[in-house]
Amino acid sequence: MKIRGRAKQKSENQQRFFRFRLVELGLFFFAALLLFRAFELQVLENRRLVAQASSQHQRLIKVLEKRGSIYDWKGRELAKSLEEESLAVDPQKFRSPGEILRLARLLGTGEDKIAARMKNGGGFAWVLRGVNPNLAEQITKADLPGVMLIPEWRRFYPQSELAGQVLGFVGLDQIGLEGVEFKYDQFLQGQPNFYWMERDGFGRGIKSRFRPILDQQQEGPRDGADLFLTLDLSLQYLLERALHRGLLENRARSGMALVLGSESGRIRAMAVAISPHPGFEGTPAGFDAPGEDGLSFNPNAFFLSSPLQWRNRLITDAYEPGSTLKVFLAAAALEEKIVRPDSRFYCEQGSYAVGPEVIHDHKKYGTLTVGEIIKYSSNIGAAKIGQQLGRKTFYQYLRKFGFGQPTGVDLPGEVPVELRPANRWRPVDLAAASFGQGVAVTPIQLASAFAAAINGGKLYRPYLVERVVNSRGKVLLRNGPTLVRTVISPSNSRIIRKMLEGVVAGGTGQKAQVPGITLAGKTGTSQKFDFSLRQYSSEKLISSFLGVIPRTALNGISGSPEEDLVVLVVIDEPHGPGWGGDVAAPVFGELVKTGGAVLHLAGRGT
Amino acid sequence: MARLLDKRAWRNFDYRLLILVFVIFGIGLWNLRSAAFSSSLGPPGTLAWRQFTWFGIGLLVMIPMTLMDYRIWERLAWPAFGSALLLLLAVLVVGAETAGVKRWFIVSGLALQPSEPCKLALVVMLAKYFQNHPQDFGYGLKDLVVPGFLTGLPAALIILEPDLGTALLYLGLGAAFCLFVGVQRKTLIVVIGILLLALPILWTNLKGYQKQRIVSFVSPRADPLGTGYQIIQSKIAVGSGCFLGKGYLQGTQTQLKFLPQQHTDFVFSVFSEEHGFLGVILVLALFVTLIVWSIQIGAQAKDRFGSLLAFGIAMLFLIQSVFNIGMVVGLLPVVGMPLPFFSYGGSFLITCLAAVGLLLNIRMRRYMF
Repeated sequence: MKIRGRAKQKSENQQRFFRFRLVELGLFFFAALLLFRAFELQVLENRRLVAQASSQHQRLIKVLEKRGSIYDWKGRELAKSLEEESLAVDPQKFRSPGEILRLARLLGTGEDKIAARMKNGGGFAWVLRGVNPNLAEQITKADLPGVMLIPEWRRFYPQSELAGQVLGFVGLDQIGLEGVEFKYDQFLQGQPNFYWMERDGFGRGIKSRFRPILDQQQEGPRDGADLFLTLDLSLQYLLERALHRGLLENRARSGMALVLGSESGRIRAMAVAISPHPGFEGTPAGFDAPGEDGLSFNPNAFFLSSPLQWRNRLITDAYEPGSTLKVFLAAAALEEKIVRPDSRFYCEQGSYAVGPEVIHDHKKYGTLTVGEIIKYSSNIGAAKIGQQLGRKTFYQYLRKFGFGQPTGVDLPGEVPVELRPANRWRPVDLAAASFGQGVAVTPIQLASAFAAAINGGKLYRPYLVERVVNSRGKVLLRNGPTLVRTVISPSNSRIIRKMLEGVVAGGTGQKAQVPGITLAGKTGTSQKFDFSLRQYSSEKLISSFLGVIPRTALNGISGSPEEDLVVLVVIDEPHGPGWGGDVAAPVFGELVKTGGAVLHLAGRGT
Repeated sequence: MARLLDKRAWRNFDYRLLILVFVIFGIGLWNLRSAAFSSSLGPPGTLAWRQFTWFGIGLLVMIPMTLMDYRIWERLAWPAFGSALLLLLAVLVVGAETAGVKRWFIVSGLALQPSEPCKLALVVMLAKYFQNHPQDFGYGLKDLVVPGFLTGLPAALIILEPDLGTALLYLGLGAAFCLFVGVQRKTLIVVIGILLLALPILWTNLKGYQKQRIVSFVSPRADPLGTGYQIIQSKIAVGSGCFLGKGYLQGTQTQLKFLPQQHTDFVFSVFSEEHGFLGVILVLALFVTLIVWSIQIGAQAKDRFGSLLAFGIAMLFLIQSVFNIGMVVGLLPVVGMPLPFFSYGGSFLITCLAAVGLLLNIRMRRYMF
């Protein structure tokens, strides 16, 4: 029994070992199965599962990198991009009415508006571009599923209205729509970059997890390039202030003004002002500060304005220049040796019949020299010079001075102004053209032609962007003075210059005088063509002044200025008699008086 | 007390098993910190710290489970099992109800789950029964009536909670015991036949969500945002971990909260995502070692009771870890089965540590008689 008992014990132990071994085998089988399955998922099928994981929590979003800034020639900021957040939703995740209501309350809008936005996009819809930081924080705190805050750029113009029409503006998608912003968009625009935006299991965007796909370090700068303009911020301010004052004092409809480097074509200042209340009477308040009188265009709030306000009229609007065109008539006649400065013309005592029409002077003049015709702005004298010059030659000189063709200024929207071909000019047309009626010019054409007339005869292409520099400091584009052609000889130019000094010293432009400085210029007063009456209006006038600020006058502080400055002032529909000498010339004078050091610097070039 | 201080027992204390368990728990706790890192339960680490506190309590429970000679449980089996049943009954009456489920007692803010310690009570009870009723030529149908009731009663109470996963564990444990002690071939065939017949009846009595789980296991894409979601998300998390993993706290599916129940039943998805296939190999190896060790302890136990006890504990670890990982990798349907030392849960962790205490107990007394 004892032995059998032991044997039984032994066999039972063997049985136990055997069964435990079976359990172990079972364990190894299951472990191997699990391991193989893990291998299948993590090694064999991982590519597909990684892609699935990415598609769940990542979403590719196209974002333009930072847009370049715009500076004046001394590096003062005119436009820059600020980072801000925009609100978007994923309609697939964000659809509970309660949550839409909460978001609507936070934004202070109606649910229907948010719902309407969501209908447009599939898996992604913008709700509000440019969320202010406080609101962004509240939205983050609300922690709504499917609601994302996405970093974006906003364009900001720190100088507000200053040079508004020149700069233009960009749309919400950071693409330039007007002005320099439009013309140089390809440089300014940041390269598109693709960002992975991560989302959590509830569809909430995770801002801190944004990362660009393209690396700035490896692939070259993706931020937009910066522009350095020829504009001088201080001079721009002074010009706008003087223009606004002139506009308000004369209760005019609008005004334009331009300061141009005479021997380079650099646009130093360029201003447009539009009166919201033409003919407004009483004392306009605060006209000293541009921007506060509603005369300017503020690109920060372009959506509140209309093309009427943001159009850069200096290049988009043509007008009949009036007597300022006599400068080119005289220049042509001198160059063609038709006249000499002291050639005399009988001015018919103020009334001269050309064909069926009768030409008048504003005062009765007898015999005047060419210089005096310019000085006193005799229409009859000019008509007689024109008759001697001939329509064909006059036409050729106008073309040479750049009229009838775009100047090629680097701004968008320059209108092609046609000059009527000379062979279609009737005698009366030639006479009218001689004193600037029946000929359309843009202010930019007039100013650059004028610069050629007084700088020694060279026509330069006007330009606004001096250089384009990328975010690593590399110069991508450098503009410089571009000589278009030589129009007249330096000696004739000097003669013209002398005549123009006479205009300010004792002629029609006396109101432009500034004590101690020898200024030159030419006044212009033209009648506007009234399309409803189909004739020239006797009341609607355009008063203008073309002035020269000599480098000698700028030579006050340090260094010697390289070039004279040419100034054009145009005032549209001034209230009252509206003579250019009374309306536009004082604006020029005002600029010179207040300009001082600023003008000196502007004349120095870069 | 003399027995407690027996020098021979101490000499045989299996500190290596203890170290193995501490290593597994250490990895589990570290992983739990990541799983709950971006959770809304509190600042990062809150849940891991709580789990660590439970671990402390578990160690306190483990000490008497190790020191008191395990044979004492032969005498305490009925009282222990009886009180466990009473607790299971009580939880159905006075338990805290959350979302239609009554599984926990809330005692001063702590949730206690009676079905966890009851696992151990069942193991003790079955070990005692088969110890007291040896059968040389395998157990017949009549012999299995009592163990069937011992298993079926708590399982039924747990199904009422309802908690399908735990109930399945009980049934699996009972079945494993029966197979282990040996069943007559005739009986085996009859039982399997009865089970096959019972399946359709069981199916019609399953709760809607329980049926859906099984349907979605068979074809998870049938309802990808509903019940299939867990399986799909878990597979994506595991698979996107690739060979080396995404790194600690770097698992996108985990940290962006795509994973369901990522600190309890799907805690191993987190580990697989962040540590990849390499990590899976390591943890599987650790669990296999733990279970093989338990089996060895059973094989070498001095008596049949100790052997059966160790077997039961080995089966507890085996069924739960195989089922849990199988569920995470999409091999098995989603039933609530936690992973020992990895999943968050106080009662569960304490029970697991108590089981390890029993193993140490059996191990160190294998030469004593």
